[in-house]
Amino acid sequence: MIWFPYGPHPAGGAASHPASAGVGALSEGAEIETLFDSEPIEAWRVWNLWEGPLGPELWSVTHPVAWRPRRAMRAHCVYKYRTKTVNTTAAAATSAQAQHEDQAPARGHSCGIYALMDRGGLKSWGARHMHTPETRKRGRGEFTRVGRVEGLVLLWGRVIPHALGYRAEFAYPKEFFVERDLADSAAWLASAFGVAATLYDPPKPKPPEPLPT
Amino acid sequence: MVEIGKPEEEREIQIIPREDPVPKEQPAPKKPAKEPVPA
Repeated sequence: MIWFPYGPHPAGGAASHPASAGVGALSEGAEIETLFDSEPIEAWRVWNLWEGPLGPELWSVTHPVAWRPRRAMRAHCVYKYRTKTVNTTAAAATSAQAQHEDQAPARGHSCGIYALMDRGGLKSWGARHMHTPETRKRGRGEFTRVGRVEGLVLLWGRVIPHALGYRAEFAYPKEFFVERDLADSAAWLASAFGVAATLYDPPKPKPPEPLPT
Repeated sequence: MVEIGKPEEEREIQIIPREDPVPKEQPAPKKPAKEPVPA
């Protein structure tokens, strides 16, 4: 029995997939590699861990989106919602990105769940956002940022490979890597998400070079 | 936004996993049956 995320198994393979038509579809002659009964792609991500009124929560670094335990994260095109919820200009509303109504990720867009092939690239991921305040008010109360969590993530559904990573339709964490100082958080992540959480010692910053005398 | 480089030309993958990659909730352990109270 094959688990299939889109309902009944499509007799026609990729042609039956909802992503095979519309604005985000591939152009004629493009290659869609459909892998049935396959393993998801493994790649690297980083998250922020926040402590909220109901306990710890795992959030995206760059978008105000929480990753829920035991639920696959599914990509949506942010521009689709911006046109409905934000007073955008007419030009933006009619742009190619705003008209995107198909499954994310779409070709020619920036939507999708991002992940990197190499863990080394995580250092700079969201560095600009790491300087946000340590506490933040959200709808359900005040949240305090506990720290940064790295991890392996499984990607499936529609996946667009890039030179250094992927944009995917579905994702779920496979393993977390948590700094040793956050051992309690690692225990919660492992229990809540049902995956491994490994503690590690972050590399110590190099001491400054002595000034020449 | 993280830098993932340029997309591969005209290539896209549809991955249909063999099993749901999301771990299922562990069922709560059953409570032990109460021992009958001696009359």
